[in-house]
Amino acid sequence: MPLTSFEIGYAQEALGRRLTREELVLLEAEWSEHCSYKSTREELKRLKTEAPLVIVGPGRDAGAIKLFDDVAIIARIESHNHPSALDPYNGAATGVGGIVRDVISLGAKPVLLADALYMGSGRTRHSRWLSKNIIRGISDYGNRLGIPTATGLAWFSEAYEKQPLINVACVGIAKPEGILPGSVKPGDPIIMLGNTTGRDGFLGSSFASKPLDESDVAAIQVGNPFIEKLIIEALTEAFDKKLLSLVKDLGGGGLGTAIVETAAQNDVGVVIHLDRVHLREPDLEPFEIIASESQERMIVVPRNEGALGELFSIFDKYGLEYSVIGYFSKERKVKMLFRGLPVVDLPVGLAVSPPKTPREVLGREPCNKEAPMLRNIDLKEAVVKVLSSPRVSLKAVIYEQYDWGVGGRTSLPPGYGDSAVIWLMDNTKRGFAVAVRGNPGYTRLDPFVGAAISFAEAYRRVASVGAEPLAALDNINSGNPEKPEQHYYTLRMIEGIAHASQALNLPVIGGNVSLYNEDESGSMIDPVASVLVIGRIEDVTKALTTIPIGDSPLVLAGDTKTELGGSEVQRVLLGRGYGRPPEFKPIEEKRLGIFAKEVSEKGIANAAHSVSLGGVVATAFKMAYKGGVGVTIESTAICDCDPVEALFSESQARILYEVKREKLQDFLSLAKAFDIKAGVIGNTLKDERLFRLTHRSNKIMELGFEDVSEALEGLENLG
Amino acid sequence: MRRVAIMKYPGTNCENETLYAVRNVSKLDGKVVWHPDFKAREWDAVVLPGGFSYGDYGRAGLIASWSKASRELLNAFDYGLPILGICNGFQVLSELGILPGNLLYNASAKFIAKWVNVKFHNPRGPWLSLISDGEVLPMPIAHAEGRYYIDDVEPIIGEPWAEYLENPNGSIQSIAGVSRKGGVALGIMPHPERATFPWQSLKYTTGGRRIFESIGESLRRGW
Amino acid sequence: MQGYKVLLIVSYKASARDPEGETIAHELRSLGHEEVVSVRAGKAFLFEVKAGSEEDAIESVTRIASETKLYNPSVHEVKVMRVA
Repeated sequence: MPLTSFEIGYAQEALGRRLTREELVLLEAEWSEHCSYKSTREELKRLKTEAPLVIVGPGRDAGAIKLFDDVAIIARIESHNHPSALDPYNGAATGVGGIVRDVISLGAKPVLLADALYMGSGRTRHSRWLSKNIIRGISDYGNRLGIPTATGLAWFSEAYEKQPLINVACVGIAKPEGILPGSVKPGDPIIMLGNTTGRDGFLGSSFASKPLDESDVAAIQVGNPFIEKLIIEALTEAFDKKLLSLVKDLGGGGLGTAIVETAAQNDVGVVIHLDRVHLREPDLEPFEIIASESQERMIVVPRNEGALGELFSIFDKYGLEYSVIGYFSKERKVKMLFRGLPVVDLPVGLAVSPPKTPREVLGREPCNKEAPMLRNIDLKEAVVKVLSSPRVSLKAVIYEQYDWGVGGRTSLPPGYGDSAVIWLMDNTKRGFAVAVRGNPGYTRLDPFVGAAISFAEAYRRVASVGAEPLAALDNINSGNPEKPEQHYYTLRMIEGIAHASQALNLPVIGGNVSLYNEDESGSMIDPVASVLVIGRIEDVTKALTTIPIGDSPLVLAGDTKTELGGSEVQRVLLGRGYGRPPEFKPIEEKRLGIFAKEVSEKGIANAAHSVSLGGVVATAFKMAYKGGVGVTIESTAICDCDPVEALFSESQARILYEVKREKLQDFLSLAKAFDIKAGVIGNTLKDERLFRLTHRSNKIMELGFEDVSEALEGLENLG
Repeated sequence: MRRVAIMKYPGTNCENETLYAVRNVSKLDGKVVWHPDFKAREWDAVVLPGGFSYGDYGRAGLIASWSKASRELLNAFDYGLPILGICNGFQVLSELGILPGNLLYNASAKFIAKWVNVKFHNPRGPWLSLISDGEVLPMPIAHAEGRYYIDDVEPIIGEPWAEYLENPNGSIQSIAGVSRKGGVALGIMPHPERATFPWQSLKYTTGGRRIFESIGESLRRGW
Repeated sequence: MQGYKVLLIVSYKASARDPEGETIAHELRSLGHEEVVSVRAGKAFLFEVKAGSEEDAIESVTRIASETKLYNPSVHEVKVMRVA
C-alpha cells in the first residue's frame, strides 16, 4: 500500500529534501503493516516473552529456547493468506519456503513443519479448488525439502470461501552455542545467496497489507523447493564449519527491508551496490532490485574475511548462485548505489521508525445472541452431524499427502496423537512435542477468550502426550485495522494471547499478525489466533497416543459444565455459534498439564485425547474408531445435566483417557492428589464394534462401525 | 569394519536416518557420499536413500541418473556390489536400468504417506538374508511416483521381491520392491529406515530393522 | 458434429519462474549440451471433443479449461491446438 501523504511529508521533513523513487519504495515496504506492525506494535508488548529458557525472543527471524542443556529449539510461525487466495498452490508453497528460511537464519536444522489452514466450506467449486491446491502446495514444497509436516489443523467454513488463511510454522534444532548471534560489524561483507532477483513478487509485502483485488496478480511467485533445499544443505555445512555470523531471509519487503533491519539491530550502517545483485532480468531497475520479493534468497555474512573462500566453495559445490553486494559501515546510514550513483541515502533510524499510525477501536464487546435451547433433539442425528462435520472428521486425506515421516524422527505422526512427537535421533530417547490450535468459532464470538482458548488447547495437547509445555508462538489473523469494528478483534486477540501467556506462565517467542483479511465487499473473515506450543519430552517411548486398545475404562479428567457457546453442535444444528465460548481456566489447565505428564511417565494409561471440538462424544468416538474398537458412554457420568449438554459441552481443561484396567485405582488416586475431578464415564469394548450412549443406564443412542466410518471418513472428496 | 556408502544427490532427503540405521542397527561403518565423489571400489555396499533428487523434475530419478556416479553404479552392479535403492533411490536404479520396470505416478495422482504392510517373497541376498519367505513387515511409504509397472512380471517374481498387502498406489501385481542377481541389487518403495526403532512410531513394529540387520550380518559373514 | 483431437498445454507465464524447466536446462547444459538456451516445463492434456468445426473444438476446450480451473489464469498460460 503506498505511503500516505502524511508519511511522505514526515520523511521529507526529517531529511530536508524530497525522497528518491528508490527511497519511496524502500520506506513503503519498511513502513508497511507487514514489516512494521504499526497497528499492533504497542499491544504486542503485553505478551510474556521472557523466561529462563528463552535464548532468543521475538524480534529476529525466529525465536529460540533451550530444550535440554545441549539442545536448542528454534521456531517461527507466519501467515501467507493474501497470496494463497489468488494462487493457492504457489501461495501456500512459498509460505513454507519463507518460514523454513526464517528458522535456518538462526543456525538451525529444520526438523518439523506444522500448518493451520482455515479454508472454505468445500461446497463450492472455488473453495474446493483453493483447498486442494493449498494442500498440494504445502505437500510439494515441504516434501521436497525433506522436512516432515507432522501436525496441524484444518478448519472449514463459509467465512473462508474466497479468503483462506494459511498459517505455517517451522521448528528446528541446534546446539545452543550454534545459534547464530546475528551480529555484524562495520566492514563485514554482505553476500546475497540463492535465486536470482527478478520482477516476480514485486512489492508483495505491501500487497499483504491491503485488501486484495484482481490487479494484484503480478505479485505471484513460483516457489522453487529444489533451490531452497540446496540453500539448506549449503548453510548446514557452513554452520558446521562455523563460517557465518549472520543469515537473514529476504522475505516481505525484499532486499531493502532485510538490509535495513539488520543494520538497525546492529546499530551500524550499510552500503549496497545494487548493480552487483545477480539478476533474472538484466534490465531490472534499482527500485525493483530493492523491493523484489523473489523467493529463495538470503543474505549471509561470513564470520571473518578468511571464511569467504571456504564459503564460496560450499556454494559452488551445491551449484548455488551468489554475489557480494556491499558491506556494513560505521556511519548509521542506508546507502544504496546503482552504477556508482547514490539512489538511497537514509538514516537507519528514520527507515525503521514510521510515524505513529493512530487506529480507532470500537470500545465495546460485540453483542452475541443467546442460543436457542438444544434439548429434546434427535441425538443420533446430532452425533452423526457432528462426526461428519469436516472440522471434526478425520484428516488423513490431508496429512497423507504430507511426508510426515521424513527424517526418521517422527514418533507420533499426525492422526495418532494430540501433538506431533519428534525424537532427537541423538542416541537418546529425548524429544519434543508440538501442537497448533485455533478456533475461529470462539474468536468470532469473543476474541479475547477465544484466543486464550487457542493457547490453552495447544498447551493441553502438548501436555496430554506427556510433554512439558515450554514456549508458544502465535499467529493473529484478522481484518482491516483502518476499520474500528474490525481492529477491535485484532487487539482483543492479542490481549487474549497476552493473558494466556501470563496465566499459563509460558513465554511467547515469536508471532505474526496478518491484517486486511476481508473480502471484496469489505467484510472480515472469521478472525482467529493460531497458537503453537512446544514441549519437552524426556522419553519419547512414553508418549501417549490417541489410540485405545479396547476393553478398558474411559476416564474423563477435568470438570464438565454446560458450555455449548460457540460449540460444534451449535454450528451443525443451528448453522452458527451463539452466546459465549467456554471459560478459559488457566489454573486447571496447568494442574491438568502436570498430572498428564505423570500419567504418561507412570504408564497407567493406554491412550489420551484432549477434549475439544464436538465434546466428549466426538472425542471418544474418534478414539474408539481409530483403535478399531467399540465404546459405551454414560452421559450422567460426564455431567449430571441434560445429555446434549453433557455430551457436546466444550468445557476446557479436560482430557479423556483410556486407563489400563489394572491401574484404574492408581489413576483415580493420582487425580485426587492433584485435586482434579476424574471419573469413569464408560468403557472401550473389544469384540463389539459399536458406539453406544446411555443416560441413567438406559440406551439413548447406538451407532454401528459402518455409520461412524461413513461420518468420520467424509473428507475424502475434499482433498 | 565393513563400509557402506550412502549416496547423496542434490535433493536427497533421507541420508541421515539411513546412516543412523546403518551405524546403529547394521553396526557398519557408514558414510554419506556426495554423488560425483562416489567410487564403487571403496565400498562394501551402497544405499541410494529416499528424497527428491533434483526436485523430481522431469521424472523422479531421471536427472540423478545423468550423474557421474551412474557409471560407477553400473560397473558395481556388474561385479556384484550389494546395492539398495529406497524410494527415490529405487527410482534412480530403475532409470539406470539396474533394476527392471518403471515407477509411474500414483494411481491417486497424489503423494501418499502412510504405513503399509509389505510381504517379502523368495528373500535372499545380502539385504534380505534374515527375512523368511512370506514374512510381512510393516513400514511407511512416502512417494508420488511409486506405481510400479512392467510389461511382464514373470521374471520379477522369480527373484526376491516385495508385495503390498493392500495396494496403495496401483502398482502392477502390488509390487513394492524388485531385485536382480538374487537380491544383490534391491529396490523398494517403502522406507525401512523409518521403521527401525520402536519409537519411530508408537503404534507399529520395527519392520524395516530386519533389512539393516541383514546387511550387517551378510557383510560380516563376508558377502 | 465430428471428433477432433485438441491438445491443451498449460505452462507458467513467461513472467513467472519455472523451477522444473530451469533445473532441466541447467543440468542439460552441465552435461555438455550447451546449445540448450532454456526449457519450459508444462502439462499437456489431449482432449477428444465433438464439435462442428476446428474453431469450435478449440473454443470449447479453451472455455472448459478456464471454467474448471484446469489452469490458473493468474499464473499460467495455455496453448490450444488441433492435432488430429
